[in-house]
Amino acid sequence: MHKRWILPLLLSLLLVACGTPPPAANNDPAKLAWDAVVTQARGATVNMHMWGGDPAINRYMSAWVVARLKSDHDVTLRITSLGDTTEAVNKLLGEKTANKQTGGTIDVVWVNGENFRTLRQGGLLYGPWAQQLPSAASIPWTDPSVANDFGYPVDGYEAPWGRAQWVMIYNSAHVPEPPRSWDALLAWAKAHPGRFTYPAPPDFSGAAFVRQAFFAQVADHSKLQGPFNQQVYDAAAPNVWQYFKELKPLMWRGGETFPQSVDQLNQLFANGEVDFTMNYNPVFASGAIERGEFPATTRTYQLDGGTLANTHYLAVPFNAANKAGALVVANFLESPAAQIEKAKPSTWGDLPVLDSTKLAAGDRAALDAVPLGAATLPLRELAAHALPELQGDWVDHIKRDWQDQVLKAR
Amino acid sequence: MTGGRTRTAWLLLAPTVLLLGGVFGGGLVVGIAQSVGLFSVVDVHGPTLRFYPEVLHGDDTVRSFVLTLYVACVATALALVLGVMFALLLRRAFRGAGVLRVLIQLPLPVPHLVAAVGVALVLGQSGLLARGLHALGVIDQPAAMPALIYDRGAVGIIAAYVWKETPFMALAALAALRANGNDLEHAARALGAGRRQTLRHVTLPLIAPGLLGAAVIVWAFTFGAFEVPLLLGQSYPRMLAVEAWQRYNEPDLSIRPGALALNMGIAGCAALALLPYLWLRRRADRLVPDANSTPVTDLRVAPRARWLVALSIVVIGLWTVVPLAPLPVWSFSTNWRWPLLVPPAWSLRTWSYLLDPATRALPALATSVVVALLVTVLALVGGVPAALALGRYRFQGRAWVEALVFAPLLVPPLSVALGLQVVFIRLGLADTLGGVVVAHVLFALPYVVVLLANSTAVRDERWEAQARSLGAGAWQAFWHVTLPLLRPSLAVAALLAFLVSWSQYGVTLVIGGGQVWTLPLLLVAQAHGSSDGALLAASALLVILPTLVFLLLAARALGAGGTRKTQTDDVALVVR
Repeated sequence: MHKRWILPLLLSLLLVACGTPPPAANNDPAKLAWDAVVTQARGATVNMHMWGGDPAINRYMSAWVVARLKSDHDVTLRITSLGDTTEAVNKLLGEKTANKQTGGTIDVVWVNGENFRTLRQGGLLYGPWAQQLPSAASIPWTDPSVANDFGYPVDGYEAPWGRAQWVMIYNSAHVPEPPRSWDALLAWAKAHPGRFTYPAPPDFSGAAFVRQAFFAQVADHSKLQGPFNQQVYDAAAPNVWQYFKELKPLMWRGGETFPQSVDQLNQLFANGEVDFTMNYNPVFASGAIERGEFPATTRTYQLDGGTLANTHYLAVPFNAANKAGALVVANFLESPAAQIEKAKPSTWGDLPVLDSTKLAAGDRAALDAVPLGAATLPLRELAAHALPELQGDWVDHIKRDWQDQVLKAR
Repeated sequence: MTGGRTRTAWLLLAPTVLLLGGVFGGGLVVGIAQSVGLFSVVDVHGPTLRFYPEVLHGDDTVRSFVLTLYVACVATALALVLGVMFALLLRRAFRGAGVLRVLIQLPLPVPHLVAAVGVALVLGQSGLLARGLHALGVIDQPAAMPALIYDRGAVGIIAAYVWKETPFMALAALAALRANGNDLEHAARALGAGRRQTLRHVTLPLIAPGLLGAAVIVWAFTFGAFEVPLLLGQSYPRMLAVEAWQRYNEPDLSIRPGALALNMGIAGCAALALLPYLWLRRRADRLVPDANSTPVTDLRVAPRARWLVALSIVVIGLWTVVPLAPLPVWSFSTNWRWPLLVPPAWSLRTWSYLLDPATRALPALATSVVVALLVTVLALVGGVPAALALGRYRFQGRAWVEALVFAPLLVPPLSVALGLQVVFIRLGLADTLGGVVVAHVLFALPYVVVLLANSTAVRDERWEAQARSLGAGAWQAFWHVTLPLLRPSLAVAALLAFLVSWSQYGVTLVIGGGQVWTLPLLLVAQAHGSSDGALLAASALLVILPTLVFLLLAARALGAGGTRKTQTDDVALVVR
């Protein structure tokens, strides 16, 4: 009777293993003049996959952006909201595995950091194209934190869309003078046991918090740039882990557990279970006050040595069905008008990625006039204390060792 | 067994076996291949078995395994005990029994993610329970509340699972009770056995085999699912499924094979749990069910026990409603923070956002309904013949087919995600509504087949045989005799298939590629990475409300379709 099993087995192997190689004809709009790209894109439907956890972002995209793309370029933008960007990465991995070279369902994906590195290493992106866009003229491409995505060279495979900078968030009603240095934070935690915690890496905001401790240990910040350096790491790491181990028993729940995500930490903060939260978007706290999520006395601040900043981008997958349309969408989202609208806290409150010296006077004035909300630090102050992000290898090492050295330590 | 009957059995099984073997099996083959380092876009020097010892040994995995085993066993045991208690109460006739039957089923259509959110909202240190205690002056601050979520004892995880699985256990227990009738219990009582003695020595042994199947499925599910522990669990140690999920989502692709190996380990443990079920099924084959000789009568409630019944209704009502009740309040609230028991202000913000055309909630609702209805029809069309074959025919290889039918319930979805995507791209079904429907059918079929194969109408061939002897053809006999007998079970199977499709997230995303936009996609997009609790509550309601309507309609249809006996009669081996 075992013969019965051969048919389904063969069938499944057949389905998995074989498959017709797709036609090699692959459109390459990056080789065309911009006018030709715009013409080609006319009437197209562009599918964009992006993290969808923030209604403000969704509203900006689905109302403001979609309408203008339609009226200005006759491009229909269709957005798929994701719980996590990794889902898009996994989908592209599957299409690559199945050798689906054309007609992919993702035309534009919102991405940065490790996901970009993964997409590049897996050969899952189309490019280079980003520096050829007309809007690229007002992008500060010479800034290393724009030309490198978490230290990984962008090389024109993604277009900068916005910037983010990590800030600490506190309730000024409970904490009149927040601790600005690492030592002050530890002293504060000793005086107020159980009132501070941070999200466990690999949570994005929590991992950034831990990474910043390395900048306090390595005086020459340039040593932290570039590929992972074992010597620099070994010199700094023991002190960093010692610090976090000392902090642990003073934290919420005695350090027995950590918030799993920054969202959990935000809820603890909203309910007054802790006095601090943190976010990689400096405008987030102002928005949360407006939504009635955080108390009105919520404020943000930076640590003394400065805080990490990064850029987020738009990428086009290798098998995008509509690459010309994707480029038109990216070019529009990078344009001063779209960037200024996006910067308004009532819209999204994402930091623009524009070089203001390259902007027309009117745009520059409009950008300066954007109100940022009560809890947001002035943009210039943020920019003056920005630390460049670390490369992926550093990020991985720190994340892994934090688990062994801090999380699992008794 | 004659060759003719064997051939008939295989013909009846063909659609199910081809679909599960070809498509799900194909996905699993790719998953196994991934776990040995094949299908990787980065070079991991495969094929190799080195990932298995790497993840399956080690202190962490042992601690995770112990925690997982603890949670799965405690949650299953509690759901079993509560389910049996509910069932013993529900088989009695009393005023309010109908209301109670509906109440008990409320958690069925609620996605696990929502159940976890509800539990956090109630049990958290600044949750409603803590706020109530604060209002009474018992505690002065959140930290004074005992930790019931993110805690060492995994109380929150277990509470969420018990809440979610108890209705299934209750339905399974009720079905087993009714299938056995109460002749033996009456006999025991008449011979002088006490109430407790009868329960212990007669009732429980009678229903034990029927309950085991349900318990195995619940156990395997709690052992392998990651949503609830991810939301309510402690940071370390983590349950195995959470560990595997986090490895799977590491951007570093060289870790991926290890995640798959861990998933295969989880699937292996779940499969081990299947063995006692298969063994019991084999033993049950020797017993021909005899539904006709034991008329089921509803037990009356003694007048002096009425207050006990009233109390039970209150307790069960609270139990099912408490994690859900805060959701509507929350969705309209603003600035609702510790220590307020009631929101200080109300707002339509979340609903106006969700019902904004740009959010595409209504298209999502329409797609969800269309997909779920198609899945229901297809799962019944494929599942009924398969259930007939498995319920009626003894043939070689039957245990293998049963294992295949169970596979989608036991294998963690992540281990087949990439494989299924590859298979669907090859079939040309990826990114289409049809593809999503077929993919959902894979996960709905097992429920339909297992449920129907264990129903009395399928297993008892005598009515059909009688019709045949009176000159009816095979098809006539099936159509005019078996199908009507099967109707109550079919309704329950249809309900389950509908709910399975309704709550699918990962499969819809992977196979639909974002082109097929359903309500769970909307919910998860809001839930993950958003701290906006009011919005999360509103999205959760958007997912649950239509299914409640469906559930009530189904309950009415069932009530109108037959006597009360048939309502819950054939829910023999339901399912988590």
